[in-house]
Amino acid sequence: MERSRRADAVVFGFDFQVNAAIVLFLENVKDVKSLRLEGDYEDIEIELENGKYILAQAKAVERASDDFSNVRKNMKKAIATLSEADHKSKASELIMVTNSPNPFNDDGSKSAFYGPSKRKYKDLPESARKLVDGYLEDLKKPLDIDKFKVQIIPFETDEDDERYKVIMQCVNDFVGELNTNTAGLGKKLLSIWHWQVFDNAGKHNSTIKLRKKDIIWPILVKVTEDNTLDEEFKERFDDGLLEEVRYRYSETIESHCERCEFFIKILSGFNSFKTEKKQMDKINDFINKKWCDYSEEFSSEIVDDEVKEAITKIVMYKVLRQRYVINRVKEGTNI
Amino acid sequence: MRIKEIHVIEGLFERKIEFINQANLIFSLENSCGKTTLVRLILYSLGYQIPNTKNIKFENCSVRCLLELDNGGIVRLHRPNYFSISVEGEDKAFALPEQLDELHEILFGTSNKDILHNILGAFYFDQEKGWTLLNRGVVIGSLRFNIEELVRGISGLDCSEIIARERQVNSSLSKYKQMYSIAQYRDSVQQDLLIADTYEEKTDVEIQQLLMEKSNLQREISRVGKSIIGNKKFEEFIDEMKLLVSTEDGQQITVTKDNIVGFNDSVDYLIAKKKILLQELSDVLKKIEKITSQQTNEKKQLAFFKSESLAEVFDKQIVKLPLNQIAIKRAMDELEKERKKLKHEISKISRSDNTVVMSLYKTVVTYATELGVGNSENVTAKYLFTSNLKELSGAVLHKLVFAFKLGYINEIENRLGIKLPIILDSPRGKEVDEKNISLMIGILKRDFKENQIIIASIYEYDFDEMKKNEIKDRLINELRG
Repeated sequence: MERSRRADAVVFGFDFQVNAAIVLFLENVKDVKSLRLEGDYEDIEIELENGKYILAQAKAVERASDDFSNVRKNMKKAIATLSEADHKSKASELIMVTNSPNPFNDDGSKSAFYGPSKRKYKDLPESARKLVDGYLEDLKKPLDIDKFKVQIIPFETDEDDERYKVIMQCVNDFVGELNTNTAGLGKKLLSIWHWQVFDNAGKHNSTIKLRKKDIIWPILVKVTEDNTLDEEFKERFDDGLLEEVRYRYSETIESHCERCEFFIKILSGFNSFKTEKKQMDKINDFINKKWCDYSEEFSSEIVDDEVKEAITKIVMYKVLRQRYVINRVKEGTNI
Repeated sequence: MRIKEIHVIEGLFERKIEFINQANLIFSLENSCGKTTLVRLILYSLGYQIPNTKNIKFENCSVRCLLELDNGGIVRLHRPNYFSISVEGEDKAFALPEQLDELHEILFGTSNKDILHNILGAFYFDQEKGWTLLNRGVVIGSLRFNIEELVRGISGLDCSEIIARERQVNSSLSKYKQMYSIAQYRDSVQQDLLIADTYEEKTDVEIQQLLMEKSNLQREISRVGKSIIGNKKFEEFIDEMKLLVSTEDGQQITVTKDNIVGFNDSVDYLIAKKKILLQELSDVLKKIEKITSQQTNEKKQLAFFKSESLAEVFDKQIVKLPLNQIAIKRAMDELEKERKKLKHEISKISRSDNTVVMSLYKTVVTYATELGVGNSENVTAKYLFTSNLKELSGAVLHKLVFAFKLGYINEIENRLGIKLPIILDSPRGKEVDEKNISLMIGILKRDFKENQIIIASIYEYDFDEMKKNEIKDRLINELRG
């Protein structure tokens, strides 16, 4: 989030668009196939596994809390664009997403949009509905009103913590559901996703398309990083030995975890390993009983038996834990 | 050695003064006419580095001096451009002050440096410092006298190694003293400057850390890249093998990357990992670029505006010096201890020749007694080397100095077999009365009749044979012919 993208309203608008896309993506993560920004139809296009689309128009106002001068114009324009897109694509949802807490500049409806909120047309306050109706009347081919939603994502100021607080909350909720128990993961992920989007944005083709796995796999990498050994696992080693091994042999460990010849062997061994214990306990039991079968792999590099044992066990643990986490995240996100 | 004549030329004017072998008086009725200047010109002509007097700059003068040595030889000396002397008609040139010792070796007939370096302090009584210089201190300008050195010289004792070591210690000590005062200053400014590291220091540290991060990330990216390639090869290998496996329900299936548990996941995993690393690397590179360009701007501005004063720059440089007050103090104390030890050793060696010390002591006590400033009971041999002059004052010190110096002259003459001129500038100090002067002159007349005496004074003195050179108005007063 260190990028300097606040220079003007255009950059601010794009930043909002990206973050709104992330929110929409996470809200629909199980059904999402891919995410597209600046696509053929709309600012944000989320393609679902069932072939349908969630289309969104993102309208950001820099001083959202006190500047409502353009919000109606924005709303009208968004409805017009969404209407057009509705007839050209298989949209299941048409969303006007904005950071304005008063998207209709209307006292009668503004209390409905305090904080993060999402309202279908039928749930809009009367006065707001009337305004929408008015905008639709002007259109030759108005959108299907049942698909229309107004979504508010608070997004304001130049302070990262304040600007991204709602998006952060959304990411953290998602990470929390995955139950991966990794502190600070939300922030890391948002930073990686931002980078992927902004890096894409620099290319000539204005369309930015991200597959689901582009977004989900970084989670797995972060969750299984070396510093995420469980306390229970660490307790089995002398602190000094563990530090030495992790410091001196981190590359050996990582390479072996990544090399398929080796991890396939471990996964296969684990699969045929019979035990009455639960999944995590099964991992520990397997490592304790079978580590000797895999330690030969390190004989050419490491002479010290104690170090060799520690490295073998750490690699086995990481491979199996990675598999376990991958399975869980894949289930959680339907990847 | 006797000074026969001095000839001074300054611009269009000159003055030649002749001296006799006995007593000579440089006289003027009033003060500030040039008596002291003339005395100093004599010393200057002997090669010494003598400070100018108010009226005449010596280097602007051509000074010729005619000497008669004790062996009867005649020497002509000529300053200033280069120092040349003519001994028995043979010309020699000397570079001063580097070859002063060689010159004086000819004049005084010894190569013993301890004697040569202290001989002036013995025979010359400066108007200002001379009459309080008892056994150690300044003779004139930067020329010093030290009784230990002189006694060592006369005794023929050598402790040059210890002296060399002492010089080293002194030089180190003075360095440490400087360092100590800098360290004190440094500590006084450090507090303020440490709180606010300079912008440059802060960014330098940041850049260092970022460069380390950069290199770690690059290594990791390359490692992950290798794993990806390795797995790709494995995938090709599996494809080529066309392995068939039968499942428990009897089906036969081909092994492909898609049905190997975890294989595709590992590919996706590594690609994602590489992407993350690239993202982190890109962040690091951007940060480095940002700081570097800020630094460049900062430097440009600094060069343009010179926003820091010289004193501020100095303070910043000083703070960077790794100086520890306590450690320096400790080293200084050690050196000080060594210096004292060496001094003590030198002094012990210097006084170890009892014959010279006792002989000197005897002469000094004799004259001191005669002058009424001490006797063998209250002046001991040890007193020759005293450092305590505080209790002596006025006429007592004046006369004691006279007694001591006559002692030195006596010892030098005995050792070298020569006669030194005795040059007294203003022997009548403020508090020395007629009676005391008579006593002093009496000694000279009795015991130093073979020495040439040169006195500069506004008073007259009673010698059997005395040439009076009077200076009226100004010293160099004759238009050159």
